[in-house]
Amino acid sequence: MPKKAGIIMVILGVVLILSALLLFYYNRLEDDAAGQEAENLLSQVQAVIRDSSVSPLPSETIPDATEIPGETVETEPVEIDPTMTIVTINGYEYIGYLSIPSLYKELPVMADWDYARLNTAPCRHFGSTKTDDLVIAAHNYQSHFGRLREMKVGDEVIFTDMDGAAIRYQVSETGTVAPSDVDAVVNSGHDLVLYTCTPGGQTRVCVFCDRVTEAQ
Amino acid sequence: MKKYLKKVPAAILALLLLVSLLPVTALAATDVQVRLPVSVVTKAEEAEDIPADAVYQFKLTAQDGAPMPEEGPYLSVTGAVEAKFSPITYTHAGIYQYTLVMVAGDHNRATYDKTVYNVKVTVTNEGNGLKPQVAIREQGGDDDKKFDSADFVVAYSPLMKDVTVQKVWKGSDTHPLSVQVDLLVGEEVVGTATLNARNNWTYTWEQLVQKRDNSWKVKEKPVRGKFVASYGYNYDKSIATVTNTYTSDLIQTGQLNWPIPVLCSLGTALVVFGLYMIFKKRDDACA
Repeated sequence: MPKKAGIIMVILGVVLILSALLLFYYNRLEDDAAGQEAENLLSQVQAVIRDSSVSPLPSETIPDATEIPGETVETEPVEIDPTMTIVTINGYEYIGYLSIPSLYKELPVMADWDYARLNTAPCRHFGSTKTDDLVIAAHNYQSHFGRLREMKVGDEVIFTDMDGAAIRYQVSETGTVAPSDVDAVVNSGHDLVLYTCTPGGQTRVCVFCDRVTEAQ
Repeated sequence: MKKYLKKVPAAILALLLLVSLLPVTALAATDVQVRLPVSVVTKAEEAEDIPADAVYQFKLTAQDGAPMPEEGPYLSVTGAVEAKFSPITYTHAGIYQYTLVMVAGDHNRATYDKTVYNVKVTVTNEGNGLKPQVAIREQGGDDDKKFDSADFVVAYSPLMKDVTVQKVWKGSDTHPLSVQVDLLVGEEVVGTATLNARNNWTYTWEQLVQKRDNSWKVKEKPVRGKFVASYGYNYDKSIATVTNTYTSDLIQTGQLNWPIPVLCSLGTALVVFGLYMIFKKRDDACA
């Protein structure tokens, strides 16, 4: 009887190990597919930016910031217009692409996020380059932000918007935050924040960047 | 004839008496008048900060019963001008002393000069009439320094404006019943407002921000719930809108990796323990 139990335990153990291998393999495939997809989209985004004949660009709809219920107020243009130019490619809207030289990565950035989009490319979670509060989230695929934790203070990050303006940033701070600490990311005071999950998914790796001024 | 001769000495005496009185009446005819000069200088960052119709008032106080201006101890002027008190008449030689001050007005942006001037009018009789000499000195200042007039400076702080904050909730019908918003000028909190449904989620701070200062901002105090505040301002930066958008946790951006080490560890443990049980049985059987 103990022999049978031993055999069952060995079989069960092998099944678990195989499951782990299969999951690892699936994740690798998913990672590769996401990387390939992002690469294809990147070339399209870059082509759109290069192609001056393409007339952009339906500007995004910004919520009327002066509207409050039950009260008629002036709808004057806001002083700092956060509107970024967006371009729709294959049904998805893009605000530009991200270049991270230290990781040898270039990735397109979608204008909005949902999990389907995140499987394809990094997404804007919040903000705008115009208001210097852009927050970009991406999966921790190796082909996306999986190596974000390797970034160091001083590393360069370049965001090129759909108008072709390349905005240079420098990493000011890195760290991890709890998933519930939305404010620490969205109102960080930094001009650009990149974040992704830690390998276990329990916290978020954040890279806080600030614009590089001409003097720098 | 004798009768007339008797009257001559009396006439001469009367004449002499008249002549002796003449200088007195001549002196009275040369009373001197003095008008004390004052001036107002206004200072501000910009000309528009200075109200054109501002009225400034000065007060002269006599010491030891010195003569006062005909129109009284106060002088009022409009705007930054040079002016003079109404005439003060001196009938006798002497030294007359006064203090001269600006009366603080009630303009809320003005800082009035608190300088006290000591005014000394020295009237001398130099034979051909009275001559005045005016010396104006700053009280507590250098005694050797005399001023041509009593100069007062009124400094105006910049014009102020009203600014309004309003609140917008997005993404959730359930939100806190009130929020507090600070008004910051530079890094200093100059006002705090509570916004709620009773004030229609809007509040106006009156005259707390300089008219030309567009560096002011609002900052919401932390709000319960998963709301992210964003800030917008209208074209002339007189209205701030704080939009609180419901945001769930930061996005779950991880692959399902954590089961891999768990499954591997558990599987390895089971295999090892299973093999142990199998070979332990065999060893027992051999024994």
